Amino acid sequence: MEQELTQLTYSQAIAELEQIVQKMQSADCTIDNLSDYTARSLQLLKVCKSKLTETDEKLKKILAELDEEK
Amino acid sequence: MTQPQAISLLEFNGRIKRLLTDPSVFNCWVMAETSDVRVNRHCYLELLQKNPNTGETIARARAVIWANTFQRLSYNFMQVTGQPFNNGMKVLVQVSVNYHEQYGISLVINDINPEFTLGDMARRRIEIIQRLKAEGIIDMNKELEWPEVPQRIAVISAQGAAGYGDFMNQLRNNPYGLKFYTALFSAVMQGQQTVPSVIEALEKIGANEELFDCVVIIRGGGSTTDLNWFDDYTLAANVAQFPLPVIVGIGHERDVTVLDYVASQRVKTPTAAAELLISKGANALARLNELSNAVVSIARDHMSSSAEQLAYLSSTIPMTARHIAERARLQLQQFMSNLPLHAKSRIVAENEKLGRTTDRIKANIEQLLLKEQMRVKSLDDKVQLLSPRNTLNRGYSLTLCNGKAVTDASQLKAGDVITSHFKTGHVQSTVK
Repeated sequence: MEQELTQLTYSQAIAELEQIVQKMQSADCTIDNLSDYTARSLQLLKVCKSKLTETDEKLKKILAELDEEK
Repeated sequence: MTQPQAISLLEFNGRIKRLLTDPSVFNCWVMAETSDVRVNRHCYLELLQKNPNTGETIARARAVIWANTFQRLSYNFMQVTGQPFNNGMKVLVQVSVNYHEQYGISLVINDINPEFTLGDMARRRIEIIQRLKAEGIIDMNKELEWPEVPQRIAVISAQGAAGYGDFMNQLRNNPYGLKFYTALFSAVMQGQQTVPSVIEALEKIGANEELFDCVVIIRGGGSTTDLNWFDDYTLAANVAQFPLPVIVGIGHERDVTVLDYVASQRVKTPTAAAELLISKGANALARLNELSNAVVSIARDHMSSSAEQLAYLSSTIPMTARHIAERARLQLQQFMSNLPLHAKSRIVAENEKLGRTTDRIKANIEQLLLKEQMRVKSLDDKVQLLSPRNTLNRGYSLTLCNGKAVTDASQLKAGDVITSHFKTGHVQSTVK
């Protein structure tokens, strides 16, 4: 679960996120693990969002090399 | 050598022309395939018949559609088939032979039956679809799973095509700030080169498969499109079996090609292809927002319910304490009020016990005294029996010397004074 955030793929991150939210919604969640869950899920949310909306320069460069328009 | 009688070529051609007035070559409906279609006011083309097995041409004729006829026929053809009148089409045309002494023989097309062409195109499409079905590959691309958010997109399009520009603009200016990464694999999107060129682009993408999430095949719209080229078995089979999901956006409103049946997703225009990709990203963002709201609200609910619990507990503690004290006080009171009663009954009980004990002691003492009396009497009897007086009574005497009883005569010596005691009285004697 504590996999390095930067190494997560979008699918992995969103899968873990869904899992945590499910745990948070279940009866298992106590005030003791609430803050851990919340912190981790907010990190994962950030990772997911940045993958969608922030430019991955490395990827951009690799694909630009294949692009025949350039 | 005598010269045979000869006529001029023009005259001979005139004879041919006269032969061609037979009604059987006038306004006759003919099935043929088009080739070399050129429009220069008038439409010039070749009509062919091919061997259906070998594809070899077995009949050929030049043909023309005069400009004013062509204007009408081509419009009607486009209306019915959705395609411009073009090469490689099966056509049913009404022709008359025309022979010109100078230009030779050609067929003049007076009418075209576009339903025939439409039927042929549909039949060809159906044949291809049935073959793809029979081979079990028609749904393969549709069955591929889409990545959560397709962001890395391989685009097959003609370089500089309007449709490609529309697609890129749409992606770039999406209102959600989604990032897409595209690479163009340019291909010829109409004419004979379409199939090999698109397949080549697919192969290039296939070689870099891991870099992409999906493929988009697009081309600009417009009425001059010629979708016929996409109704091709080899191309369809390539798309169907491609390892990445393919979006096809090459048709327009009414037109459907075989590719539309095999691609994972079909859209009408390049813009719609971009919108499809954007909507997938937007859905993912919406889901993220939902999750984010869920996390926040769950955390908040937990905090507030814990606070509520705490408040409840802190309000109940003093009350509980008060309850406990009150109960203790009542208990004490009850105990105190019961105390005299308890004491009295206890005293009575103890008194009774004491009385019983006194009685028992008395009885014991009496018993003990009786026993001692008996013992004393028995001792007295024994003493009586053993006393020297009793022995003296029976006729024995007791001799003392210096106050001590003499039991051995050898203890005495001459001159000792001894006293002899009898039942009554005593005498003193001197030993001799």
